[in-house]
Amino acid sequence: MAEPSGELVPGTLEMLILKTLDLEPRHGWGITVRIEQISNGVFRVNPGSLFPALKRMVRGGLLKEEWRATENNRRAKYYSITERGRRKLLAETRQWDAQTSAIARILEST
Amino acid sequence: MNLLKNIIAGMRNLVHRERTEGEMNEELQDYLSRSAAAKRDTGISRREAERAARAEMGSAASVKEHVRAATWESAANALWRDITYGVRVLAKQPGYTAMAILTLALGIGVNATIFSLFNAVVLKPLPVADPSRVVSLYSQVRGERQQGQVFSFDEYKFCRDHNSVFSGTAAYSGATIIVGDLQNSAGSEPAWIRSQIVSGNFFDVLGTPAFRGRTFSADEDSTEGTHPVAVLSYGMWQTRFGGDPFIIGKQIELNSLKYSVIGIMPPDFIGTEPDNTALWVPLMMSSNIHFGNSMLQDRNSGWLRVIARLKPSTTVSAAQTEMALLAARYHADEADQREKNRTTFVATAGFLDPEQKSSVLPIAAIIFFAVGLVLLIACANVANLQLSRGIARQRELGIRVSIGASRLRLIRQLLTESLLLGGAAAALGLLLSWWGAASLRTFLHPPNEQALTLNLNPDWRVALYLAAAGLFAGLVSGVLPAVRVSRQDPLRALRQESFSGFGASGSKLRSALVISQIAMSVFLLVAAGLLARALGKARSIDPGFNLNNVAVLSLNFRARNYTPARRAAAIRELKSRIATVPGVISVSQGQTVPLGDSFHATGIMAEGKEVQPGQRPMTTNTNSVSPEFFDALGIALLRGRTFTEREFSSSARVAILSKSLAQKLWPDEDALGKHVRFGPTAPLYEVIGIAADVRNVYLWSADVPYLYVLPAGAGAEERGDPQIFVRTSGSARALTTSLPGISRQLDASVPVNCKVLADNLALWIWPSELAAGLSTALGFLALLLAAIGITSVTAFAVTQRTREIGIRIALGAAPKGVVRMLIWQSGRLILIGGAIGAALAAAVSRVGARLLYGLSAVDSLAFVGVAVVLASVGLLACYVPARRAAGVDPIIALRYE
Repeated sequence: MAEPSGELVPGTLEMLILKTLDLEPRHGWGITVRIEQISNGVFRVNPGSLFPALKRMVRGGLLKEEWRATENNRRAKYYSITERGRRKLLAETRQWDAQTSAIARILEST
Repeated sequence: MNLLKNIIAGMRNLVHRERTEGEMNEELQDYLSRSAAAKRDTGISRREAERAARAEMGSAASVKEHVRAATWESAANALWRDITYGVRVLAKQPGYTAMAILTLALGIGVNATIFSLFNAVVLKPLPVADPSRVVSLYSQVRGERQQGQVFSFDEYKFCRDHNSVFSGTAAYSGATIIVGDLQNSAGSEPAWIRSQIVSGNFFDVLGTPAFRGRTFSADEDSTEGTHPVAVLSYGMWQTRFGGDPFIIGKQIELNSLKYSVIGIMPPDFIGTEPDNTALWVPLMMSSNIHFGNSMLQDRNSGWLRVIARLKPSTTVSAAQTEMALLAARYHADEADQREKNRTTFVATAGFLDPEQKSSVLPIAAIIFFAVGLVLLIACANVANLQLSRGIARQRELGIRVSIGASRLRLIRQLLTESLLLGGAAAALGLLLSWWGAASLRTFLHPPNEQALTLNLNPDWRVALYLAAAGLFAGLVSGVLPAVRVSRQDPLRALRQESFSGFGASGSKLRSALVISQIAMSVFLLVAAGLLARALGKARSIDPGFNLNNVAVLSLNFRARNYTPARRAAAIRELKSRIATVPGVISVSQGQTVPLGDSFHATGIMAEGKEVQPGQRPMTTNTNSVSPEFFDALGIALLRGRTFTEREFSSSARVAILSKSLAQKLWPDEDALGKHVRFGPTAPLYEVIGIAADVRNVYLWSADVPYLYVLPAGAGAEERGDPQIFVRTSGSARALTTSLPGISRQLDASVPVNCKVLADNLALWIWPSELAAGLSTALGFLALLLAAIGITSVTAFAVTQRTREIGIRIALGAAPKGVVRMLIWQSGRLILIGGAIGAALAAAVSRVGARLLYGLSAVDSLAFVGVAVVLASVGLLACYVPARRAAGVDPIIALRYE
């Protein structure tokens, strides 16, 4: 596996977390792996920023946390998206699309 | 909703800190093992995979710290740590801490004392149930500033019956009622009792049921004169009736009529006035209470105050709209143009009406300014203490900086400490103010009068004020030192180079603090000095007539329904009996007491210069007196003569004018022999004499127009009973006990009261006395605080310079020279501060000169006096520590480090 290169684009971590949780609840490691997979290893999430962000989002009502038993009879904390989180994701996605297409237009212009 | 969840989650974390910590560890551990497992899948060894996973995560502790920082409870936690640390630091230095708390508590206590009184008089609503729903009605002619709180019975009934905004509309009026002999307490003499005559629903509107028995019923409020019933105050029941448990249903005599006691109000019931109302009777008894002149039918005189309770659904502004409409309707067909413009205002009820409030506020502002200065001085003291202590703490703070504390962190810690001081001082200040307000209350009312019943218990306003004062004191005394002390150079601190202190800028700050302290206390002292001098001047005013050795006997014949002829005979008899008392020089009579609390005024015009009907004539104060009156009170007759006995007994139409009245009526002519009248077509009175202008109405003005006529002579029928003035060669005070006895020999049932005339003067001077006393106390408190400040700064400077002083002495400097040097250094600050304070005081006293009689802005004695006091206190404050410094042994001093 190629050495992952990219730091996240600043300010996008919460949006990415919301997106990965949109389909199903995941634990911390699951979120890291998912972001890495989808981005083909371009983005890598550092636990030092992942866990504070998760805490903030739980407190902000965007996520719910829940302990669940895992395959090997241990337990792990799973995060799932709330209705409020979904609305936030939708809003941020729209904003992001608008911004990236605007940037793209600027870059394409000669 | 979400915020609430957040708060609850935070609380839970704070309470179950260990569980939260455990869960966080578990989660991170889980992450690590999964990460390691994933790495092992790429084929490296288990140990290597674990190492790589751990390296990727970094320090677990730092991750956890970051997670914690994402929540609010971590900030709360840090604050809690600051507080516990601060408490430990303060507890380690009990001397310093006690000094700082005590200083601030003095400042806060003085402020809170004044605020408690202000709160009780001005801010607190009426002490009744649900006071925010109780409003007072005020009557005002549109376009005029003066507001009256008085309505006629007719207008009250109109408002009561036609409004849709009040659940109850009550009326009341103050009345002085004579309580006669009591069947069950033999020997108690008739006495005037402060009472109220009230509508039947008065207590219902206030929302206070009776403590014993009942309050008034509807039929006691409907037919005139048929229900003589009374409700007693608890105090009246206890003092006058000895707490008689069977008082309900018994009869008492009020204005010579038997009333049944139907109820007693609770002990804590104050009612609408803070002046110890002792009993209440129904409005329908007006005829008896007002000595035969029922005021119920009188449409033209306003005498009732109206108070009402808003219906649950209405607001004050809705009530205002409706009452203004009702007033317009009521006054629409008024003949008088001025009365047509009369309207009604509605405001939440309190002890003071809006007009009184607006006259109290400027005075309150001045007092708050003065006590605010005292608090600032206290803060400057504590700021100085903290600066000095900062030196001793440099090492501790330096270590904190070197292990990574930011400057902001240090400032936060230092501010937390001074806020703790402020908080403790506020708590102590609460106790001080409790005591202070209770003892100040006795000075709040004029001499010889009963204390006001004020509820001085601290309420939420006092709590809020104390919290604000504590916060203010903590911040003001803490910010400058915290900023200054936190400027740390860790290296120097660790090398223990605390010797040089903060260098120049720290000592500059200290000097500035001392200068401002001195300036503020000089300001207060000069103000106190000026006020004390003004009081002296007020005391030495010559009223122009002789009040000394005069007793005033007041009788109430109307209470006994005397006919005018019988009354005149009784007065004649009484006067001749009093004249035989040993020591009595003269006995005279008049209707108004000079410098007393009641005035009689009448319109007056010169013959030939009558005003048109409907126009307002000039008014003058008037008194109806007997011939000896002028002699008895030492009022000089400048021209003409006094009344003769014959004129007196026939109520002749003759008048004596004061000089200023004569000049106003006939500016360029001689008034003697001319005629005056009291209405355009009223009979003429011949001017037979011109009396000197005396200060008999207002102590502060010498030329108020004044008219003297004979009793029953002022054109209108005489309303009041006469006062008898008795001049003695002995003590007037002694007469106050013997004269009523003489009156009772004639008719024991006539209520009688005897006072010393000179007491009226004390009543006039009392406000000046209060102001001077208060400001002197504040001035000396300020001086005391400033002296403590100077002492501690000089002492600190001495400690800091011990080594330098030692070297100077070792090199041969005389101890005297050292003392002089140190005194000069603090003395300079005192001089600068003193000059600034004096300049400020001189500027402000110019304004004050307009407010208080006798206050002079350029009173050199007050300024010089303050300078002397300040110089001696300042010198002493520097001398003590300087003296100690001069005694320094050079050897010890050099080893000081």
